[in-house]
Amino acid sequence: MNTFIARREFLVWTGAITLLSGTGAVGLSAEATGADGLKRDGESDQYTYYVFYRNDDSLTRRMQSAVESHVKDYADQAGWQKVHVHSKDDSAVVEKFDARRLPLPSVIGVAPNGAVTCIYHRNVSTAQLKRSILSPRYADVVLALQNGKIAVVSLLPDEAAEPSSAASNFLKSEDFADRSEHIRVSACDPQEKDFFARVKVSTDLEQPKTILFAPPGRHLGTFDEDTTFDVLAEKVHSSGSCNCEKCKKQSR
Amino acid sequence: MTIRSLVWKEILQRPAPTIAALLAVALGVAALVSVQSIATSSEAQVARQMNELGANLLVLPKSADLQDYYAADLHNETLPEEYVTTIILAQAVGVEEMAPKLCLQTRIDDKDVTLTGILPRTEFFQKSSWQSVDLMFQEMEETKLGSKHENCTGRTCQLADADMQDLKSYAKTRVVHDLAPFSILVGADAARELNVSEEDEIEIMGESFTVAAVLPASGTVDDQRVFAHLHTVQDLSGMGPVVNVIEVMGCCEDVTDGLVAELEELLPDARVITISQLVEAQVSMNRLMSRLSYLLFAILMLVGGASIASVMFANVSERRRELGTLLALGATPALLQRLVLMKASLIGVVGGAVGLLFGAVLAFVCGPMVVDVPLGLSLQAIGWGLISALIVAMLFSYFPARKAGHLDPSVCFQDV
Repeated sequence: MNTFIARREFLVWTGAITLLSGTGAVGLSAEATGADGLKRDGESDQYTYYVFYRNDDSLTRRMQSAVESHVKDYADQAGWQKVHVHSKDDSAVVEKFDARRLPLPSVIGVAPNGAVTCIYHRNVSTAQLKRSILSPRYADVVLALQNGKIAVVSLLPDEAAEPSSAASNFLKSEDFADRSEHIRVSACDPQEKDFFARVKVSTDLEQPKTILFAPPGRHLGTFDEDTTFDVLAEKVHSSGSCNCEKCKKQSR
Repeated sequence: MTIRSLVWKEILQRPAPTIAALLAVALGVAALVSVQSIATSSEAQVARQMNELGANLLVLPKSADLQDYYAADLHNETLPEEYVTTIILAQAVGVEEMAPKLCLQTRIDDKDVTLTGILPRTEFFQKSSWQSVDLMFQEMEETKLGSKHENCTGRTCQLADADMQDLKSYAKTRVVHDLAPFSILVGADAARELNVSEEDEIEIMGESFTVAAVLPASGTVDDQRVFAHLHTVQDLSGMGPVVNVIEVMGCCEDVTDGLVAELEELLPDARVITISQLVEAQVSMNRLMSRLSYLLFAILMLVGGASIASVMFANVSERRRELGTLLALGATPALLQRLVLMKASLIGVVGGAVGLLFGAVLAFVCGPMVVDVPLGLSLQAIGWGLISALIVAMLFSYFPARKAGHLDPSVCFQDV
């Protein structure tokens, strides 16, 4: 009898402990801090979505639901965190994104390289969140723009191909060397198919193409291999994007 | 003995009626010159504001009172700073710059100072760039916004050149590219009163600040202010992330209407005001003042004219013996009429001149108290005033002059 009771008690306690541990684990994962998310950005290849909120109202819950659904579809490459803007534990991530000054609730998506790939407030759809999952080179373009650089994107037929002479000269020129960043994207890279689709360039490239983007995200043009440095420079100056002396003469 | 000497001697012998008639004319001219000068100067200021700020908007708390554009933050009502981010994220067409402000009254070295929190452009750039993915493939919207907008480059949140990075450019552009948390910009008048110059350290509300720049004079209330980073001022005030006003600089006047509608939809709890709405009250007041001044002038001229007529009739009656003597000595009726009219014209000219002087003094002394603008005289009003004074004086002296010309010498001598 005693043995039976002891065994029963043992099973009950074991079951209880297991149950509690499981609950705790789930709870821990749902309530993991924004600080954990910050650490995760640097250590893994995951996208992280931060849902910032002040009140856990219907808007917040609707946003949370959209983000959860999106992350489920991209479970192998995305995670999410819910962050209260007055939480002391999450103060680091709140400060990083100045979340107390955002219209709330807001969701910010961060790529593994640190580029912010989306920010939406009040409501967000899964389609919008899907658009924020970028190819690696695309994320590099976004990061360059967010660092205040003109992104010179060379679309290449293969890894070994050289960018156009216009792009090379642009990157070496006195006007633009310090203000621009070069991103090479190969048509042979299967991960970059989506990027080619978004820039509306076929992956059956025979010659390199050059795309210019100015911060914070203006598409200045897509140029063939035979374009010249002067054409690229004129495009940048006429947009006023680099605010040099030549841009000032062109602007109003 | 000339007509002129006859008139002059007569005035010296009977100064009181002459002065009474002259004053009536002077008052009318003074009223016209002073009011018109104030209205004209006020219109010029409105035109200057429209020219400098025509494409600008102000986003204010609904309950805020607004008297002057440059003092738009000098009230105690606040807006959440998140409204700034809302406008940035909306990427509204035509927003060239934004300037949110928070105002705090404080004391520095026992002097009352307005500490104004301003947000650098670098803060906008970061948040705007978070939308890079959405922006990258948007084509520039084709708008049917008129020819002025064609040359607008939409410079919001672009990289800054050397001019923009010069802190002193704030006096002109009202936007600063970057500002450290404990650096301040000091207006020209404030720097003089506080006796500070660049790189001086001063204490404000228990914190030490470095004077990063002394701004050139702008002729606005900004000359009396000290400017610091908005977030620093928020921390010092303990008010949290709030602002008193968000100044939105449009790229051109063609975008204003669309931008107003968009901002009103984005921020239903705020009030969006254009420069033309702001100056509307002033423009209406100018128009009213202008019309009233002409009405007042007309009334006063009628009163003055009646006074001149009365004085002249009395003068002719009083001088019957004198005029009869002149007639007996061979003066013609035309000469007597000319005597009366010359006196009237002298009253008109001198009265007009006195009125002009009085009106100018009134405009320069009282004008700034009424409308707070630099005054200039209205040449049109001066011209109208002088000409009208002369015409009214001569017109209302016509019948007395006729009476003098029709005097019978024999009847005049019967009074002897």
